[in-house]
Amino acid sequence: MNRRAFLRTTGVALGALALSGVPALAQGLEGEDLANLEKALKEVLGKSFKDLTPSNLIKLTMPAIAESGANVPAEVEVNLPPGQVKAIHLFADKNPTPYLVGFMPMKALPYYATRVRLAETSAIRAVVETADGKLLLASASTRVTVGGCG
Amino acid sequence: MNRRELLFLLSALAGLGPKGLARVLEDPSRLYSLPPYGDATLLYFSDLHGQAFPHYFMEPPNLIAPKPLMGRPGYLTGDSILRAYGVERKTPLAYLLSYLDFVELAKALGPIGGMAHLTALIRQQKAQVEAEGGKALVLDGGDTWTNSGLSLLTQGEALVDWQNLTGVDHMVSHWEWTLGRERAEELFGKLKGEHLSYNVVDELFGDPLYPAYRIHRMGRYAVAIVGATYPYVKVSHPEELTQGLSFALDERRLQEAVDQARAEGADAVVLLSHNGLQLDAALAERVRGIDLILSGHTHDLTPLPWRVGKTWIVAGSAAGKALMRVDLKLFKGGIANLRVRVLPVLANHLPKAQDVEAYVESKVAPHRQHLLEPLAVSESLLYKRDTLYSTWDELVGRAVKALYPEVDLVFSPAVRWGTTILPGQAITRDHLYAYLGFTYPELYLFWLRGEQIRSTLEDIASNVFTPDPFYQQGGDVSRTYGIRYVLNPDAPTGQRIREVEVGGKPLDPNRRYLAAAYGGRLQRVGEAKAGYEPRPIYQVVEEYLKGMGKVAVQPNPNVQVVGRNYRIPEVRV
Repeated sequence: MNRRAFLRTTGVALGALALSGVPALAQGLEGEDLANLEKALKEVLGKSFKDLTPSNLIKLTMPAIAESGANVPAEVEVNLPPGQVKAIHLFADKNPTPYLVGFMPMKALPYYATRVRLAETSAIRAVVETADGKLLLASASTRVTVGGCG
Repeated sequence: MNRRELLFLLSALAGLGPKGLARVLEDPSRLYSLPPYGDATLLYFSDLHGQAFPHYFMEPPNLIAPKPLMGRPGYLTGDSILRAYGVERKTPLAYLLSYLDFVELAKALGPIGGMAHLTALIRQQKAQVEAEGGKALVLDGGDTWTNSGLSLLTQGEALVDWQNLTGVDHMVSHWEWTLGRERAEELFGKLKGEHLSYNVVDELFGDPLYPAYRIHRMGRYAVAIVGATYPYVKVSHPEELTQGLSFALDERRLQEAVDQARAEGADAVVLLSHNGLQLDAALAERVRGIDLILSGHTHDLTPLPWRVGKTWIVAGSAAGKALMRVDLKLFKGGIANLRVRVLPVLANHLPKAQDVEAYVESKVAPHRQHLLEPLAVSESLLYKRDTLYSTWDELVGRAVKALYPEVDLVFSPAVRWGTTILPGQAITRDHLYAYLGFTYPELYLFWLRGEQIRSTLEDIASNVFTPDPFYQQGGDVSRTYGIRYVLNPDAPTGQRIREVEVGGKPLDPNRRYLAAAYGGRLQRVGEAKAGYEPRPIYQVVEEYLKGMGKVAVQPNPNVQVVGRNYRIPEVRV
């Protein structure tokens, strides 16, 4: 019996209609522009996008929708002991100059929070250089909208 | 909720056909007298939008969902919403829930809302609960202070006075901020209840500016109310109105507020939210420890609670249509069960709170002529809510084009507030303010290139049709006039809009078009028309209406939707 028929026949006896939440489908990364990103990766790291290893050791926190593209909070947390992280880099695929910022934690905790500027809706990349020469990657996407209520 | 109580609800409100309707009309108090239940009562309403007087409000004929979200509460309309909740057509609850039979039911049941009536109902329910030894909190889901004649005349103050007379315990906010930061802060100071917000913070330092939650002793238990402000205030409105503030969605901060309330002894945590129903459902899956979300902003009405994970969600209706009574059965650690009742604010069948009536009268008296003077008669139904199109917005488009014939296309913001005008009803300035009462009402004329028009439509469509609620900004689709296009809600971002035509000709990406827009930020994208001085949109429409004397709008949607049945309501009787 489908839900509709069920409701029709037994609707009144139904104590509380509890529809279960449908998990939101995972989105393809919005604002991806690998060609533009590639140039910046070459320039800053001398590497290509395919040299980066996606890793869940990096937690990149970005707003889904920016309050203002001119001032977007960004936060990177690396789940590695201090001393094992050589550098943390941030890139925005769609910015005319994709490289946003780089940070060398030295012996400090590998955590970095800052504000960045996004020209438009873009994929954001956190690239972590480890002490043993690996390049780890985490990605997020932030939407920059024209705005208006609807 | 037990079976007998539910039977009572459905028989009184929804389960009986026209015969039951007649019985309800003979003895409307049947609707409002409830047996006691549980340990604590929440009296909840949301999105009043300053509507002082009883009025009509038709629900949207269409709420087009991204495919993965189809069938969820918040996207049910017409016949489907009645079936989902087991409500028969032509009953009082059907009048509140569905656009079907709207004009007929409006004539039989009369207008909804009105501040004096809502207050009387709240007081009556509160007295009922207290007489039985219970405790009730009055919770206001926000969007209370703005968008009406009374609000504009008093810069929101009359609504705060009304909240104080009514005994609102807590509120959250959104459009309140469009009065400007200074005025909003002044009025929060005047509010006897308390504004709660986990996410209004100082933009530079992130310091919270309002308490995130308050714990109430209710019988043997403690209930925490946590407040959530609309997270996209800055994106939706001119940012100079909220300088120095940030409203951003912050799951971690929300989780901290919930955990802290629990650590302080709250048995149950209730989130009073202005996030909108879809975002609240998404948050319910990610934030731990919220027992119940009272969900405002999207103007939905959920006669039965929606369960997402371990969280119940109840939406708060809008426009003064209904008071939601939520009775909680508690245990140490949460909500064991709950009973949700929709109490329709049928103005013709409820008493008025005399003090509120007198207060409103004192504020309105000097402006009575201005507010209630008939400007034109509408020969058709003028409604506002829908995902894509409405007869009201079509009328505004006609007005702009009549006064500024050089305009190629008109954008009208897809706010959910407004009112509904029945066929044969006179349109007054109070109606204009109910539809167009922005604190930033200017109509702008500006040049856009064809490509900018297309990308703007894409941008709007992605805000509405992205399946992930975290990427939805929580509005309907801006209405357009003078253009036609095909919309595929299921296409990937950037490819939803096709076959755009302006003035009957295909859109030329390189040509400049003259656009008109109000109530948003679109004008910033374009180049202002030289020599044009922006003027309030309600004055433009007033001038048009006075010139016409009578108006009629047959629905003629200018957007063709791929893959959905688009329903057009009956507008003439």
